[in-house]
Amino acid sequence: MPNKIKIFFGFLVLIALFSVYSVLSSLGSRYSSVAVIGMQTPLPTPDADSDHDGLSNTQEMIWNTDPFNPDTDGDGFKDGEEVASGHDPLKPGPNDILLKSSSNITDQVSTLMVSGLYAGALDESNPVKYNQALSDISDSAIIDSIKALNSNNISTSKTIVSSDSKESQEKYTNTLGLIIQEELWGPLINEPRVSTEKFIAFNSDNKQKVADSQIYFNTKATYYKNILNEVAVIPTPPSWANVHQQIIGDLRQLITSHQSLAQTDIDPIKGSAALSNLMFLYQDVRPILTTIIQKIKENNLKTPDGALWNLIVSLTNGQ
Amino acid sequence: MDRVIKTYGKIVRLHPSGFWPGFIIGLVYFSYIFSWIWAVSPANAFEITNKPVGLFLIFVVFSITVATAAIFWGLFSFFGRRIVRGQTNQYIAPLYLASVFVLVEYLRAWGMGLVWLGNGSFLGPHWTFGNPAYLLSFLPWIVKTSSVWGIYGIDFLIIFLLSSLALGIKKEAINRRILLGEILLIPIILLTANSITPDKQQGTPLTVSVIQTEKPAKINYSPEELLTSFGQENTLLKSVSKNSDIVIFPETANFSQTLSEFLNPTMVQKYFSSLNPKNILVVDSNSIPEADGLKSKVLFVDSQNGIAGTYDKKLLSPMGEFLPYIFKLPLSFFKSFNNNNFSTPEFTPGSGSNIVSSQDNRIKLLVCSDIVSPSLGQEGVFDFMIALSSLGIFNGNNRIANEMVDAARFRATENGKYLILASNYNRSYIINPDGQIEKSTPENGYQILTASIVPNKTRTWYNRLGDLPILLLSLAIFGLGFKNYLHAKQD
Repeated sequence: MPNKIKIFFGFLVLIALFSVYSVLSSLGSRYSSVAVIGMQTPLPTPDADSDHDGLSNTQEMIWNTDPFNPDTDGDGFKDGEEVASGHDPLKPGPNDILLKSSSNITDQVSTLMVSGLYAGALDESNPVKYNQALSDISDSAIIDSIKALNSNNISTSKTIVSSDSKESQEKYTNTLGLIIQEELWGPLINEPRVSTEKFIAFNSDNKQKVADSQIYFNTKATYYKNILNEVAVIPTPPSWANVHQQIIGDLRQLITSHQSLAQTDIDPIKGSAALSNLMFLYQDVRPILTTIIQKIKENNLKTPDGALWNLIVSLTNGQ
Repeated sequence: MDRVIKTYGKIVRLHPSGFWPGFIIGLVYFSYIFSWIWAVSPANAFEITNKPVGLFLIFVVFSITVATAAIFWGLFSFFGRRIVRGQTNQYIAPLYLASVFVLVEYLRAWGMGLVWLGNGSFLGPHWTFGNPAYLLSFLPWIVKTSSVWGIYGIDFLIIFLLSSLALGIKKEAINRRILLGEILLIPIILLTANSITPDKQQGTPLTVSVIQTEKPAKINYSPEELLTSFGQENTLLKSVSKNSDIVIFPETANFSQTLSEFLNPTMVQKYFSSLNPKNILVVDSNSIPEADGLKSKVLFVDSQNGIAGTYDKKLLSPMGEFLPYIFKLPLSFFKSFNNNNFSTPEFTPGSGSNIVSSQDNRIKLLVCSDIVSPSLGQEGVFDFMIALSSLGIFNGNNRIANEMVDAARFRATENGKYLILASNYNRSYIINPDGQIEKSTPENGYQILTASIVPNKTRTWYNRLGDLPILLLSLAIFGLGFKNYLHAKQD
């Protein structure tokens, strides 16, 4: 073998050794932290699905199901299957429907289109009539979507009115502040991106992906319903009634939108409308933080504890 | 047709003698230069759960990058050897070698862009990583000459000097006095170059503050991470804004965008106007989705009047802002080995000017990898430069951090302007028009760096002409050498 080729192969071996060294040192550095804390068997991660029922451990916590039992209510259906199909995983069937599905807007639009074709309204040779018919069908779809997303079919406890004393107001802002910081604000940060990705997954031919999206949106709907139930029972001073109603209203819309999104595969038009609605809601929910802080300043109240509220105070100082 | 067949036969029979020494030296040198590629953490940046697969993908990128860079040095030794052998006068051989090296290095700057080709590529002579001139950044009297002929002029001198020395050692029969005379020409050339730099026309001094950050490269930040990083940015901005004319956030700070998630537009305007009663400029880099894709957008916010200008980054960073095909193709093969989808936000390159006017000053903006491109640094007329960088994806790797600082020193000198380098996951620097570091943060992490800079209205020779003179000179010398080589071959 000529010397040049030997030298060339020699250098290739050197590069390979360098790469192996880098790989080993990289692996070593990654696993060293585990070794230091003496963890031999890693704990189940929140994203893992320990009982392989289609619900992650975090989702099991939200649904209050057993993370190590794939069929918590013992009705023969896995917890994940029940959530994906809109059934209660804690209640054996058949009367365990979670969501009363409202009328299917996509079906309605299809019916109108077919009727329009039979009646001759959707005849392209008559552009005026044709455009009018299309416009009517679109209007109908939009109005039905708005109605469905704003329907007030989520029951909550009646608002408990407290006094308007400084003490009552501070009690209200502290309780509400804690719920917002701990349960509402954080999950909303990455939701716009994740919700869009999960919505796009409905276009996939992969049934597992579609089922994952249904579980995701149903779980989110339940999560916000739990928060709504917590907020609804906070005794509310009259001067905070508007803020309270706004939060309740936004939470209701978050729930309805997520419920509608979970049904995107059977009603894509309502799903699309729900996604648009959700994007507006994400924008609408965040300024509530500054509204609350401004009201606290106006009423000379103590700011709720926590890094989030300290930051909002700092951002609004001097305004 | 016969001619084509003959030419094909010649190519097939071509023995690349002379290629291997340059290639092998290149392999060793560029393995060191590009060792920062290993610092990319696939697990964090691309959500790759299978670590061996992630490391294999990085190995592919590293190997192809190093081998391609080394091929150019192999070509240098291949052509250099042939041209030098064809010369009757050995004393001018160093000139020929220097010119071949300059042309090869310039082509390498193009070639690296082709290796890292992807959806977000911006082709041109931009990728000067590993250019030997950067190794001399500690010699001020050499660095300063880049204001005349840029880094390629310095490359020319390096190869001229090294080949003259090699010739003197190797050739017994050569007259060493003539060679010594050639070598002595170098300090004379350096002195001349330093003396022809035009005098500076200085503007009103400005107080600039850099808010250095340490945000890891991630797709999703947890609420705690977001609160901590944004909270610190807000506190630091408030503390420096009262005494600054310009406040600069590094790349990926996303300050304005995060602010708008807490405050409505009217309140955002009030927030900025409450920073200082006079007009101050806040320079802030954000990732903003637009109709034609995700942009790395720098906002120039005038505290009293709102957005004064924007710049969308042109030279996107491979791996950081788009995935090159050499990473993407093997990645698609390994998709089934991963628990979740590999994901990285792919950016779209901007197309506008990187000079923004604010009050009386024209500011040149370089974002992250823009700093290694002499041509992006040289374009247009401006008074000082701001470079925003983030080494989050490389976890603050020292090798790339040093390379970025060396490049920044040359960009400042080439154009004769102050350059402020604001960093995420690296130290921040104030570099004067002579390429010297006037001030820097002591370490990584959240820090403030405040300094006074003086805008300079004068244009250097390099700022006016760029690399054209040295490339034309090298091309002319190479042409002459090639002609002699052909003559010698015929004889």
